[in-house]
Amino acid sequence: MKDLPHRAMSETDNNKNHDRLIGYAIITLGAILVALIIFLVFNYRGFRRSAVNIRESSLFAFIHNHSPQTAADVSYVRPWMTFDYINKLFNLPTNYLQTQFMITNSHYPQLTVYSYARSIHEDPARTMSRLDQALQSYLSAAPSSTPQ
Amino acid sequence: MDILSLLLSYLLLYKYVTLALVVYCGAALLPLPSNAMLLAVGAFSSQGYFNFWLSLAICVTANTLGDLTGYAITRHYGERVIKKLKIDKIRFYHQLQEELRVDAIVTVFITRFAGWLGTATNFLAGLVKVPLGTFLLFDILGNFIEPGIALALGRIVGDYWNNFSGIFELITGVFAVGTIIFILIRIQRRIEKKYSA
Repeated sequence: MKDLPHRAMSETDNNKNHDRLIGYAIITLGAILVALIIFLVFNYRGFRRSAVNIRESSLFAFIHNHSPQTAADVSYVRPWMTFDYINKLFNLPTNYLQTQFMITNSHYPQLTVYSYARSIHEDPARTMSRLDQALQSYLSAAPSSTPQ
Repeated sequence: MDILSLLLSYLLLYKYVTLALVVYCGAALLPLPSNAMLLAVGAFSSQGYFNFWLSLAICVTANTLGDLTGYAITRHYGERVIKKLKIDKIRFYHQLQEELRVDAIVTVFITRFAGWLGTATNFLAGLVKVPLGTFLLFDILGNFIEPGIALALGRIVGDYWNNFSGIFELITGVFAVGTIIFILIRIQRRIEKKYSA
């Protein structure tokens, strides 16, 4: 009987503790939600930019045949691409770019444009522009892109 | 070079090995742009540079192994950490544990589509000791659908995959928010029911 008020008090304390913890949990989850909403707002800008890009490229353009590419698609080449991938993408003969760039690196064609630029101490942007020219000249000379 | 460009370089150089490693690490803990990379792999498969089905199989396997790693870590060591931090003395922790166990199937499956929330769920599932069979079944199911969608989308859009990576991240973010709200509502309803009974 003596214990009853004590027990009731500890139960009240427990409940208070419990409510406080639920409060903390809700605050934490609320903070996560706010962070996510901020993330979504930033992504929304990206999303709008993507939508404009898609509109500009037109619906038909992105469902067209993906490979091999034509001279119009040279702008899609990026420094992270390997020569092997570029050869495959544009249906180039394996040694075409090697000859054009006088590449002696034994890893060719398993070599990225970026690594190649770094290995010859050239600005990757300059290498990209040379690559652009080499691709344009090959593809305009051989529009059907038949490998030799 | 940003992280995605670096990953794409390695992807073109070492193909499926990179794919498996990135997906595994992304599922286990590291915040890597796995979805953007999967879109790229889908695009590469449309150009004949990757095999679509082999890529999907590798993604499902690596993703599941990554998820299992997170699950196993907390299942084995979670209890010890909880006891050391004396979190087990808190009543709310036990209630949360109970709620998560009841919601395990729904939570594990839905969070597979919610990006980083999936990784957090793996750790929680291990901690609350969700049965391994249940976790594995719904994890594999979700892991089959999510990368499948990313790879298929990449395959359809081809060279334009990069334009879609932002949209994909947005959808994942919306899903994460939706999932948190959904789980919170379910927990709140159950607590309300308990108190009213």
